[in-house]
Amino acid sequence: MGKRYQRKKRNRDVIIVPFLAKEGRVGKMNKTFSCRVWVQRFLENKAIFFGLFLALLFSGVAFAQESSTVMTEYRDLPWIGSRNAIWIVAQLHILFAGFVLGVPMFALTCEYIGYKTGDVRYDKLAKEFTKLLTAAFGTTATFGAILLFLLVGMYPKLFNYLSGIFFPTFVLYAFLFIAETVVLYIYWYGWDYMAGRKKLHLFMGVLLNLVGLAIMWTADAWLSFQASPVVLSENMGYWQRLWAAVHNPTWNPVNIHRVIGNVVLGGFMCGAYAGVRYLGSKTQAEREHYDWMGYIGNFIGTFGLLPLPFAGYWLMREVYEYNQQMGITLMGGILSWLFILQAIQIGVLFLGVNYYFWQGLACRAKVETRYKKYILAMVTVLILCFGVWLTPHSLVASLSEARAMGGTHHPLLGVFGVMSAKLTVVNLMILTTFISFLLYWRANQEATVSWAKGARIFQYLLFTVAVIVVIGLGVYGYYVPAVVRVKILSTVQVLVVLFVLVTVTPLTALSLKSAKITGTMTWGVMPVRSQYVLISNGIMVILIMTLMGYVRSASRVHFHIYGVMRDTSAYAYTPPIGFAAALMASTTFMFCLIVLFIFWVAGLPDKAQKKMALQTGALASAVGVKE
Amino acid sequence: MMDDKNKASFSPVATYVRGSAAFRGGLQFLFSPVSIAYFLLVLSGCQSGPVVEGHKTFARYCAPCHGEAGAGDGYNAGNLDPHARDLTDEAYMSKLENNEIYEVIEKGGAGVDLSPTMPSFGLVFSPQEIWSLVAYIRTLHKSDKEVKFDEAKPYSAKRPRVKPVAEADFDALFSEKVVDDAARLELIESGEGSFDDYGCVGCHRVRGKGGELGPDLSRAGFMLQPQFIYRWIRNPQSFKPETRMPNLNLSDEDALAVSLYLGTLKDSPSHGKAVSTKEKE
Amino acid sequence: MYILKVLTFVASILGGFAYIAQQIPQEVSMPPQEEKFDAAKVQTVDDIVDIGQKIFFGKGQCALCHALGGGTSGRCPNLGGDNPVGIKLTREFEYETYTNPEAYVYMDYTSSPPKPFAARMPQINKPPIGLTEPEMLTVFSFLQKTSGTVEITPAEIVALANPDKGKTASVETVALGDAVSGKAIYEKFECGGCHKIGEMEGGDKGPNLLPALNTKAVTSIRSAIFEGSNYHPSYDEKMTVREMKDILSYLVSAKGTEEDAAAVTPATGA
Repeated sequence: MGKRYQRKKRNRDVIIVPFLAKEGRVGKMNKTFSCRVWVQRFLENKAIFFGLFLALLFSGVAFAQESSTVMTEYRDLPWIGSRNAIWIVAQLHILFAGFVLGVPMFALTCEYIGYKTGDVRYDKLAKEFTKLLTAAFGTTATFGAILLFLLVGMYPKLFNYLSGIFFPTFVLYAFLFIAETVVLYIYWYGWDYMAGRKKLHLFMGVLLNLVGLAIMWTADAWLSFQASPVVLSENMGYWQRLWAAVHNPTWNPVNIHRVIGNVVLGGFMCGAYAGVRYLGSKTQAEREHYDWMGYIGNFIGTFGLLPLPFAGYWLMREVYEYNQQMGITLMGGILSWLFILQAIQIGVLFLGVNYYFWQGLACRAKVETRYKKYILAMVTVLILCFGVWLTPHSLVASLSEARAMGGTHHPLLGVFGVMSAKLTVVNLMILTTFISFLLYWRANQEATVSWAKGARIFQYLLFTVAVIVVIGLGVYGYYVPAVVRVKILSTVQVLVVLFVLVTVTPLTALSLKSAKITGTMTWGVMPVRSQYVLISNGIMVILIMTLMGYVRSASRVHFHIYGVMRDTSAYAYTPPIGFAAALMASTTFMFCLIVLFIFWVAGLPDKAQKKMALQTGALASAVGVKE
Repeated sequence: MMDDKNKASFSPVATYVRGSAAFRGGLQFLFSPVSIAYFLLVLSGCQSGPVVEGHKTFARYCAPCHGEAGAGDGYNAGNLDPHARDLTDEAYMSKLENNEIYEVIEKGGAGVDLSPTMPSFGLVFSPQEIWSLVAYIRTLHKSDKEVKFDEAKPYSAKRPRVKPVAEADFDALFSEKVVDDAARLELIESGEGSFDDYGCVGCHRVRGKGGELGPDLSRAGFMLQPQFIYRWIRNPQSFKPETRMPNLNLSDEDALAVSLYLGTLKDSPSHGKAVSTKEKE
Repeated sequence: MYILKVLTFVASILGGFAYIAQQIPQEVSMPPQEEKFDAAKVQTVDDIVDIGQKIFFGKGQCALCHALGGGTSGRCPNLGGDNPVGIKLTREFEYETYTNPEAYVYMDYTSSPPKPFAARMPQINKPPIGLTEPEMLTVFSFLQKTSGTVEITPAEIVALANPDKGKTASVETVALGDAVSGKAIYEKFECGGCHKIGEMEGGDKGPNLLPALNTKAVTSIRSAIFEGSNYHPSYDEKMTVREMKDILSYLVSAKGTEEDAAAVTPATGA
């Protein structure tokens, strides 16, 4: 009777693609699952591999150069162009890398929470995050390798120069990559094995994060040096020169910005993943699980999103301090419209994040009626702020329109096109999002600590003061010289908001300790549109990252290394934003497809196991327990 | 984050709770009306306007020699001979009248028969600024001689206007005075003497000797254009209004002499201690 | 299948974004033309100032660190405003700054005590900047223009740009005589009263001649002695042509080696 389910021992199943098979490898092969079989057969077919190898070998002929004493400076790729090819590959690599570096941070946190509270759901969630991470890891490395080949092959002049300075960091990077691979494999594959030794496993997680950080900071040195090179005088020693190049003015701002950005990307991508899985859930248990996972993903993304604008602002300030010309190109010159696009994206993201919290209030906590007026107020604030934020300084106007306005600046709205207004509204949006989060956090709970009322009043006061200060300084900023505005006023605004975030969070946590639950939280009943919002949030974050990639390259205008090495290739011009946006949208779509494929494949072992369990379970119940 | 059931407390947080009680209490006090009023009072009432102004001027122009607190221990003080006055010395300072202090600042040490290394600031500061300085200096030691600022008859806040010197003036003076080699050498010698007499050596270093407030002048002749040296000495504020180099009111001939002397200083980059003509004698 | 719905949703967002991006003003930024120094273009003073300006903001990368007036530039000295280097610094010192920047480090006098600036000046005549001598001189002309009047003539730039012409000219016009009698003439006119040559005994009033002999052309040495300058007496009427030739040949022979010159002007930082 059991013959149908006996596995025919086929050697190739065991050897090929081990990462597709779950640990244990019992009853994995499912004959009806042809797709995987085809993939395996393709990969193991020697003829195909040999053919590929020959193709690669002879394609080198396309790049053959006549022997000359002059080094080739550039090579080109047909149809797509070398610059665009590198753009796409680099972007994909960075998106995957951001995910791979961001996930360990909150996976570790989730696992730690699970360990501390004994709630096994958190441990399972962390493991699910790590499953996605491990699946994406190989792809990250693949795109990195393709990027490296393209750089070396297409831009030898630049790469020669960079190698001359940064070679030790390349060696370091290689070792760090090996370390990350080792630690990640131990962390993922040893999860259940180390179930009894959680502390050791957590330590592996910490190591994974540290190695990931080191990898990113090493790579950041190269790209930040391209944007803000330091003068390397001949008198400097080799290591002194290397350190000076690594430690250039935008290195640390980029480091911090990317650390936080990775958390945001990872969080929102996991939220989008949960959203997709929720939509495809078949059982209520699955729905509850993915609803919860979506909430956690959104929460993590929001948690990182709130301080992210400040990191970006610091980066901009360093750019301005380093070279005013570059700063002006970015904010006031040809790239200024790009930041309007970014404003639109971030505005949509903030709206989406808030909307998801409000949906949670309405559907999970069912307290919509109580908070309805607050939500209305917040929506109004957000939309107004969004409107101010995306107002450009000079409008696109026809000649007659401009004449009617008296210039390219709108008499009323033009006022909002400046830094003072933008920083004010982004701070307000951050505060509003924080309030949404607080409402959700406190929903259906009544604080029972004695000082709860005092804490509430203090928080109201704090928020009021913060809002007044932010708006007040924003208005005052119109009347002071730029240096005062940038150095003093904006710093105060940022610090005030950060102070609110940093103070109110522990205060709420403490006041809700052993709080009385006045209502239940129902999971798995969120409407479909909320899951689409989760997906939209994920897409927005990815789009923002692609846009920032374009900004970084465009800010260097016609230089490989700003002010030091000119780009003398055919692609030295900065492409118009319409073309760039089309390329960004295609890259994002490609990324979505690849991610869909990877996450789907990564989920197959679970699916198969479930199916196996169902079938053996049914069989066992049909024919009795013993088999 | 976990909100759908009564959760167990985090044990690290429990420790935090104990400490935060005091923190909460402190926060509540800080935001209370009492403390805010006190804060504003302290900010506003402490020091009067001119003293604050004098402090700012002192910190930039005087502190390098006289020290941040006026104790005669500024970073340049070690290079001065005689040493910079200790303004916190009550025994000495209380014997001085306010207008005596004013005179020292206005006319310099040379103007009151003291060391010329104290520069004269009469052509740099306005009377109001100098009186503010005096008022500040009076706070450095115990004294009963307070500087009075009359609202009805305020001191002039206008800085003295000194005409900037043009390149043509230098050319004219040069052709007038430097008629031959002998005249030139004579001027160079006299310039070397003036360099000490006017106290330049207090701020500038030449061949290892002198102060470190201003640039090292051992290569001034190599680096600077001759007409610039002259124009700068005659009126530094016309180039850099906030420079610490005072206008020492040199006469035309003295300034030319010093310029010519400095023009001979063309040492190589790391010159050792060379012998100046004076020491040869 | 729900995946198709999701993909359609994603595609519509991306399509919307790409559409919006097409609606805003499109601008292409083309790289500027690379300027090659062409001596034939140098006709007037304005030409050299123009070239100098382009180099200052372009190839020379000076603007990366230096501001020209208008407030302070934190990382290195302001070259205009209250520090008018054009009328302040001599040409020789400027040349030294470009080629041997560590020889003198300018301090930031806004802080107390004065401290060196954050950025180190690189050697301008070496890669990655690698300006040639005429280009460096045009930059200085530009700086002179920003502070006052330009004292560099187009002819000098052209002469620098065509060194061979200069060399042959000097060989033709400056005939050298006898070095031995030149030494006697050196002593006769008591040049040693103000000058040293390398390790030789001499005076301190004037510069040590060894580095000058190595860097300057014979013509400029000749003009320094003959016509004099603010600090050098003119020997126009005191020396015969024969004596001039001899002393020049003596000085040329006293050049010595590079190491001797380096011993006098070591390139160690201040």
